[in-house]
Amino acid sequence: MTSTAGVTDSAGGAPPAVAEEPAPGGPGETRRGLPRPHLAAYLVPAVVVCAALGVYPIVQMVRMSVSDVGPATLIADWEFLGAENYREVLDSDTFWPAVRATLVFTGVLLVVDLVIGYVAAAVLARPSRLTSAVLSLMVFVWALPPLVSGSVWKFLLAGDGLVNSTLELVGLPAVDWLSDPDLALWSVSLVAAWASLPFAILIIRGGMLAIPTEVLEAASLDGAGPVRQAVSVVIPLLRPTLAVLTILVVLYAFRSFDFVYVMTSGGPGTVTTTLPFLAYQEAFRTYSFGIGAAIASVLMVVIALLAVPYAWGVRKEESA
Amino acid sequence: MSALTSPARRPVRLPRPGTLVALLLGVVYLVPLLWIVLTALKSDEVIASQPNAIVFTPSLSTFSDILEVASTSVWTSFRVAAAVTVLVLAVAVPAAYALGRRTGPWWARVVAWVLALFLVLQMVPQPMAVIPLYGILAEWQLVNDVWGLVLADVALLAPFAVLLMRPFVLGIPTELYEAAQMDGASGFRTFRSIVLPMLPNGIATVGAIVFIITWGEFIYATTLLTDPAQLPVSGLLAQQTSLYATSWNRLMGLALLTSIPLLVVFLVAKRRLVEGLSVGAVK
Amino acid sequence: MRVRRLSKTGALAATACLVLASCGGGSDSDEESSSGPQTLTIWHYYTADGQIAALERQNQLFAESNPDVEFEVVQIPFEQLPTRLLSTATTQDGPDIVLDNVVVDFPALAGSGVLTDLTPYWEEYADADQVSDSSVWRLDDEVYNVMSYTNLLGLYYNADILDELGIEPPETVDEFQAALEQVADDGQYTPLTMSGAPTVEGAWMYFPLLLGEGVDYCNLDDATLEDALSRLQSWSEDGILPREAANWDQTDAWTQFASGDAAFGINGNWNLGAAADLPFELGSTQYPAGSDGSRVFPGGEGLGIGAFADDPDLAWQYIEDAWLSPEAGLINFEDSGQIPTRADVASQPEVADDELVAPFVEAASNTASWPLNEETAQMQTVIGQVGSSVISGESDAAEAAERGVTGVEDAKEEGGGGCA
Repeated sequence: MTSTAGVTDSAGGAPPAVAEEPAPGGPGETRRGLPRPHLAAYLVPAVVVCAALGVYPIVQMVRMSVSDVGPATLIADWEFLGAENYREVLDSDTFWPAVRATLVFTGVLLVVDLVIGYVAAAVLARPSRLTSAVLSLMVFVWALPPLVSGSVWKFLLAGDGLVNSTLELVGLPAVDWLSDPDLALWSVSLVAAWASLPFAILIIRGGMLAIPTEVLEAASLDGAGPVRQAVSVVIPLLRPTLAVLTILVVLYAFRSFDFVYVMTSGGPGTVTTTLPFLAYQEAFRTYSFGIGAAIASVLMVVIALLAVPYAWGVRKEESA
Repeated sequence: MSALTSPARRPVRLPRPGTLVALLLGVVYLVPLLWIVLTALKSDEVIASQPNAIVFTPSLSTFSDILEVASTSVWTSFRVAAAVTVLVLAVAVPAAYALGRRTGPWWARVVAWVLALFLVLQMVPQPMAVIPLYGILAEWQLVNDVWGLVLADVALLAPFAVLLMRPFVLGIPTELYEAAQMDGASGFRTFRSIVLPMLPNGIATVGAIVFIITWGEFIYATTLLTDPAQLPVSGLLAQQTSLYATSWNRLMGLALLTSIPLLVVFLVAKRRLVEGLSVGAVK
Repeated sequence: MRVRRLSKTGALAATACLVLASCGGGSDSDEESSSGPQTLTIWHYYTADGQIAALERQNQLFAESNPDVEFEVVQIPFEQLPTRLLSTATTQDGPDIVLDNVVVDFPALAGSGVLTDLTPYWEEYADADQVSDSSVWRLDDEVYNVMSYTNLLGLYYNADILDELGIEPPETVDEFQAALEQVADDGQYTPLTMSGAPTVEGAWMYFPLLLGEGVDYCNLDDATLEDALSRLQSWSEDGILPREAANWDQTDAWTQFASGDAAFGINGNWNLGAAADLPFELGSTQYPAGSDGSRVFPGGEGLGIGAFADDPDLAWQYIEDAWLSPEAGLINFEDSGQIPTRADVASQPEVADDELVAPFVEAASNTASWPLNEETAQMQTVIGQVGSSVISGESDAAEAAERGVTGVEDAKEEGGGGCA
């Protein structure tokens, strides 16, 4: 339903844009922005599924965020509060530190997944017995639920865990990876990045494999070195893939809290409390559903804002 | 990576820096996996007194305890994940195709809007979505029914799969569409005989990812299925910890046993990936 | 929208049914129950082997006198249980019996109509006077949960270490402090393990330091909280409590203690179920006493009847026979180490004469009261967070105490201001 509304909106705004930009010169393609019913038809199943099961939860969440929904009122009628939950969220002592934690978490994920992910995908895209084994191993580990992989890292990073034992073996002091307030957030973020890296590699590698080999051959015939080849040929061709990956990583960081939940419960203190964890804690641990929904809605608005440049990029790229 | 490739004088498949990167990755992912295996091999006594031990007498008691319960759950999870993967692909591939065609500014607007909406749709935290979902599914008589969970997972993953699949569609050269048009191919024939054959690695990649995510999803699984006999793997794992005690050896043993089917799925999908590569190369 | 309206009508209908059922008397359901086998669906989140074994034996006990009742026991992941129970309001179809985390979730579950009002049953219950009042959970004077056992905190010690260092089990906080310092000075062992997680669990562990001074959630003051937090902070800084404790939940803390490297461990009686396997001699005593004695908050699961139970009378019968009866209390104690709430069971020789259990039984007779406020979970979480914060060194005691008191006051106000 929302999607249909979106289509109508853009149709309403369409004519001037069409008049300005000449349609691309595809031979025989429909010009002047005529509707393309057959393409829209391919969208129908996805739109139906989302309208049936995706829209109602959003509506409920937004309604909850402007209502007084506490422990005893979840099932009852919700009293309308207006922006009060939002005001309370923005004024609270926990919100801004959580924003900071979320940004750090997201940043670490982005750097690891995009940079290390690109390097690793390039390595693992070459067929060999080693790369095949490493890739399978990584996918196997990625498939383990966060409850398991997070717990494993909690053990490995414990005071007497394997990481500290190794440090001590080479004469370095043990580190409180998860309880030092200056380190905990980085540790949790890195573990989450570790857990999502195989996914990033799969995606980037899939994109790389889709690049026709002739393109790469042509580039190396032109004498392009490996770095230049990556920068001027591979990355531009991978742009849609990398854009989607960036968006998905941000999306993940903004809605998931599994590693925080398993490894630190947001602590020590509230150091690793990211916004999605805060939303979960407010709604389901202390039953302030309205506050939790308001935090989740704020995150949704941020994602919607981020979707604008993404969609803008898509539009330019599509109509170019 | 290619950027680090040694000069072309040696036609070795995997240059040294690449090997190093691969080995390093291997270690970083192998150690936690070995830790899981070690923990699963610990008896209850060892777990209780020295959970961080590396040297101990291994015991297979955990595995014999969990084999039966694991096999029923694996079957449930397999049915759910397979159904979700098929349905998600059935919905997402056409949608990605529609959103991946470049046919003018009007359609570009539609694409931009739909993509943005698909992003926003994913922003309801699952624990928050599950309560209204439960209401909808209850009205359709689908609570405590595997199909109810399948539908919920499809709705959760379809937008995600569309976003993932779209770059693969964008990678299809426009000349192909033009050629099809000159041949007078109908819209659906273009989709079936031009687009689908170009997407095997996309479908394999996205399918494998959807399968694996469904396999691990537990918030919907434990709330929408209430019959203990139908508990999927993810629910079984979540059950192992609570306020009072966590059976680490059981948890890790179960995690290992129940992940084996995933490895099989991935290995099958991987072969498709390689074939996909060669199809691209032939063209 | 439609769904919500439906669910509201449904809830009304359900309330009507409940009223009818309690007005109409039990004769109808008796006739129904004789017509064929009935199933009792039980939801719980137990994971400890002893607790699960106890549940099975208690069900058998009920089955002996009710042979045509079958059980469907559903183990739900701990954090999912409240959500799942709240969802049942939409479908009008939930468990007959539920064992919930009463000290945190009670206001939410009782207030949202997914539990049956047990007042009529409780008023008729012949042995009600055997159960202490703190085990009967009321909202607006109506009973929704009762506890047949309770879980309490005490101080465990490794008797081998204490013998080696010549330390007597401490009784007061001052003695405890001296003992901890002695272990720390010796340097061979970790003096103390306890949960310091930024959660309700962590709060539960150190709040008895305040209770011992006569301060609870309702009369919380800055100075007492700061004293307790300073103690935590000094424990962490002086190497008495590992900094890692700032993330430990009670299971982690027990694991550390059970390894045999720690002299003391603050933890709950449910660990006694597996105490025989420990590689050292275990001792237990009450939580170290402050100037006002030793007091802890009672924990444990509340027994409730789902609002949409098929046959609430049968469900109550089950609660009486399989949980509240003396036999059931003893079975539960034997298998799980949890302390019976019935005075006559707690004084049985099996319970009272067990040296390791005795301190917990003693503690059960003098527990503190939880705040009766619908924001109780928020109040407890704030206290957990500031505790974790000082253990990790993120903030100092004075600042944390101020945050803690403000947070608790705000939550209390939001929850309607009530407390005791």
